Amino acid sequence: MTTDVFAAIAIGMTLPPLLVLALRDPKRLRSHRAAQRGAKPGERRALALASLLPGLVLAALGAWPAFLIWLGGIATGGWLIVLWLARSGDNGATPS
Amino acid sequence: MIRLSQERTKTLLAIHGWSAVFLGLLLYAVILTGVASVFATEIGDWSSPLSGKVEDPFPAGTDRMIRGLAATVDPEFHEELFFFPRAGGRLWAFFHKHETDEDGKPRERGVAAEFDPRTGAIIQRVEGTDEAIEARDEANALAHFMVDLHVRLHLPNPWGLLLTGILGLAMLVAAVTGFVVHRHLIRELFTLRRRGDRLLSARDTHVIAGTWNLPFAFILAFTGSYFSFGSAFAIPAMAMVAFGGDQEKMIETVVGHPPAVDETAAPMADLDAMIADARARSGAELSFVQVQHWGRADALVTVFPRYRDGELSTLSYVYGGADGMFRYAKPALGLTPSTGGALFDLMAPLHFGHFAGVWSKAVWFALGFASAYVTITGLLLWTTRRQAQRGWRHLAAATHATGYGLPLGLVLAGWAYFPARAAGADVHGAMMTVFLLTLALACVLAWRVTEFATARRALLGASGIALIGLPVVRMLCGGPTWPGAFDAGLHTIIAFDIGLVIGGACCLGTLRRAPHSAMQKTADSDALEEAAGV
Repeated sequence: MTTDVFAAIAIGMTLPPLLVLALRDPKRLRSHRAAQRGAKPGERRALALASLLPGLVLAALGAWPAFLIWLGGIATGGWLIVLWLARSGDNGATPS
Repeated sequence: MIRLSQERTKTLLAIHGWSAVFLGLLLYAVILTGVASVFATEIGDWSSPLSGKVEDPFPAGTDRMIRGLAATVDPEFHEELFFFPRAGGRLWAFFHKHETDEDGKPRERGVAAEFDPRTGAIIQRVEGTDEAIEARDEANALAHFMVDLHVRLHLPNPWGLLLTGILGLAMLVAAVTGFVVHRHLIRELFTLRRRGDRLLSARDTHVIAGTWNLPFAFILAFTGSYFSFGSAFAIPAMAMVAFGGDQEKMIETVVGHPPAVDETAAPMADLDAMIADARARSGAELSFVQVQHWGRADALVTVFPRYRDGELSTLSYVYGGADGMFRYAKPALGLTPSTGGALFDLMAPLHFGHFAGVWSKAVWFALGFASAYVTITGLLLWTTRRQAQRGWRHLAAATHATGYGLPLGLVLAGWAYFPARAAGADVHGAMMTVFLLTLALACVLAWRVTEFATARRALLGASGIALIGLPVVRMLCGGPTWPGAFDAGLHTIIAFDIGLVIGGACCLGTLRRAPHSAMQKTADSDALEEAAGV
């Protein structure tokens, strides 16, 4: 039970900065010809660190099952975010 | 450099392409069935439930059940006993001896029985070799069909294991080469171009799925190869070199059970007490019990617990079979913890994803699905781009037939299972026949259509309908209805049914989203579009 809770909290903390990272990704914005400015390198690094931090905490705590679920969860979540953003872009509603 | 004529070069290139695509399609089959196998336990519980929920598969009274069975079994089969829960919570016990077949391969022969742990009654009793007993098993047959396809593609040992081991290595190579070839993986982590060039869009879809899934592609490929080669090659080779071919003796030595032979007859101590003690020591539910030399003074009982919350390895607990006394707790390898043992311990949770119940399984299912997606989109890109070249249209057709026909075949194997079982027919034969027929029909369809998009739509649509209809077939063939399952506490059945319906709806939804204009385009661009929207 602790493993599930740890993993859920960690995934919940990782997905928001990951989503912001995706939304403000310069290359994605360029490919969608969006007018919005992409995140600067410093901002991207900070967002990437914020995304990875929950996993690093789980690893530091030695909560390896929760870490693996977190890793798998963000891999799946990241993939789905990219698909969703691409589909939204298709419909002319590029999220910003 | 070898000088070849243009014709010979073309022939060799065709062979090269055919063999690569053939291996790729087999790899896709192994991955896709692996995705289903993540939930093998749940498939067994869903397809063959008992009339009510089994709260404890090792209840007080397990000793009475096993002792009662032992009394009816020829003592020559008391050499070893396994018992563990499966398919609906049935307790499956197998008294057996070890022998070699006509070809000198090791096998087990004995008596197996399935118990209802709630009543202690024997549901089914079967005698024969392990293979013959497995062939007569109905309760776990659907799960076994998926797992056997994943583990050895239903080929005889050791060829199936060798092939899946090679495929695992191929997946490892594909992951490494993909990582090297796509140089901007991190920079393009969020870039999926849907507009403009369809080839770019299809390529991006493939690369994005592969990138996010890359760490797990390594893990699953490595651990999968390890299991295949370990069973098929490493254990027999080690046994040949160090133990004169005696695999049993090698396993006993490596695993840490050196036999102290004492054939004096001695009654077995209370198994219930040992089970309760192992539960208290491990703090976890139990998964498996092994008894060596039932009814002898040197009997050993080893109890294997599941993973305790927050851990990726377990100890097993060994008891004297005659006195019931706790002897020692041991890791999977040897008698004391070691680095090698720890690495060995990690292989199973990393491959099966069963270390934290349904949540870790759900994540592994998603990652396995992503791997299957990457494999088939890669093959679709590869074959359809070259379909104008000699022979490549056949490869593109084979890829479409396997890519979309295999999932349909697996679902229809479920459609065959329930009526065959209800009619008392051979469930294994029925599932295999329907599965192969479906693949054959998918091939006919893919080869006969002028545009692959037609085959894709037909097979995806059929898969969607088959998935949504499977719970209905289950109920029509005597399975519990939702109200009945809810009242009996069989929530897995309802959850699994809902999962199937959602899966079916996703298949149909994918069809709805596919651009209609694709049907009018050239076969080449059409197929590329499919690759983007699998």
